[in-house]
Amino acid sequence: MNRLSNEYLSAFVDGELSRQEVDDMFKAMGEDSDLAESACELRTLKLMVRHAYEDTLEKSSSPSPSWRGHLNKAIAAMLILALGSLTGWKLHESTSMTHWVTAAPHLHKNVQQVSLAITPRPDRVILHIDNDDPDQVQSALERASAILRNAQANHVDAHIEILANNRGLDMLRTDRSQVTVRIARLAKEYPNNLRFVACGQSIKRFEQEGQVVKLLPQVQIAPTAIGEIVTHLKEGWTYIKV
Amino acid sequence: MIWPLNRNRELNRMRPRLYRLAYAWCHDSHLADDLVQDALSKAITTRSSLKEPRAMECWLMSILNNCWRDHLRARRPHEDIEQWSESLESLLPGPEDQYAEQQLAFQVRRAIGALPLSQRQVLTLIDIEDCSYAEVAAILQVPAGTVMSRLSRARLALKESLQSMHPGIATPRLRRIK
Repeated sequence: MNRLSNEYLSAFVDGELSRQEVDDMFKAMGEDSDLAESACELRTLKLMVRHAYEDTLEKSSSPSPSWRGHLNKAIAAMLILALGSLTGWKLHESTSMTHWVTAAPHLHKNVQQVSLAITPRPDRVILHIDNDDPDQVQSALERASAILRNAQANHVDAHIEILANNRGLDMLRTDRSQVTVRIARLAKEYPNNLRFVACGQSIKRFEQEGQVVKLLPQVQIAPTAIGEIVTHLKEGWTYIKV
Repeated sequence: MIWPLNRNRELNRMRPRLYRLAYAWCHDSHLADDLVQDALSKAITTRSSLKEPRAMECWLMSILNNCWRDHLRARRPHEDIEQWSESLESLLPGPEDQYAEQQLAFQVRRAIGALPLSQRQVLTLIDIEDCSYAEVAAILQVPAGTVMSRLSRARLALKESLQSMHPGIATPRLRRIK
């Protein structure tokens, strides 16, 4: 596989590369803005494909002839925002975030950072987790903690949001979370700077499957994960997919 | 082979995801529902072929793929599916989609629907279902290298298609955050 081929870049975006290859790619992106731009484009395309069909999960049991129209309108509203950002504004590859953020240990590893806004806010970071891999759950918490700690040390009023959807929701559920104590401690330590947000759409889907979803007391609910992400990106937040 | 009750529940839990995948392939809600029903029925009747319960998701997607290809063959019984399916486009929008046609989301789906079937399947399995390249290769029964080349071509075509509708989408310029 050619290291600079489109296939290789796709493999990077899809998480198919080894840890060392990912590290090399981030380093290469830091030195080659075109490469970073291409990676951001692919990541955006991937996000759009994923969410273009997200609501079909709710329609599977009783499809009706007219549901597609409503679905398109709902998704369109979100994607218009995303595309509007891309077409009218600039896409900021943020592997070179401000010093106090990059100083956070391991932040540059295995993350994909994007910010969409005329005026980026490096002091606003959204950490998105969509699976229940214990390593990634720990990684999300460690990154949030490290960023806030570094921000405090640099007298910066940083705000972090950990957004969970799909299986990532487990970390915020009372009956499934393995990190309840750590979340409670972080919430107490950073009451005004750290938010834990659950995707309402994922909750709804789990409930339709018969599950009872109870969330930790620190957790707030957003209607949809993509809506939350796009809204924050428009406000200048930096998006990091854990 | 005994088919445990909880396995049936697992099948039912997979139904929404199978439907989403089927819909992404055919872009027809009724056909997608039929394909999923067909796939689940075959899953129950061929359950002995599932050697590893943890591989159920890929196994079901593989069955869904077979059902989809059977459907295509039935529509064109005298033609070589490998030849014409490459140029097959999904169904065109009905009257209820007239309003939605103006929407960007519809255009994203249409761009995906215009991809050759083989590329569309790879793209949706990876981007929607989060399958690994190895899993997609197993589901579609093609080499991993083929998965990668199809995916790359699909994304390039999708990008160009969306770029033609919205010229700025694929040409953002990067600025570093200082």
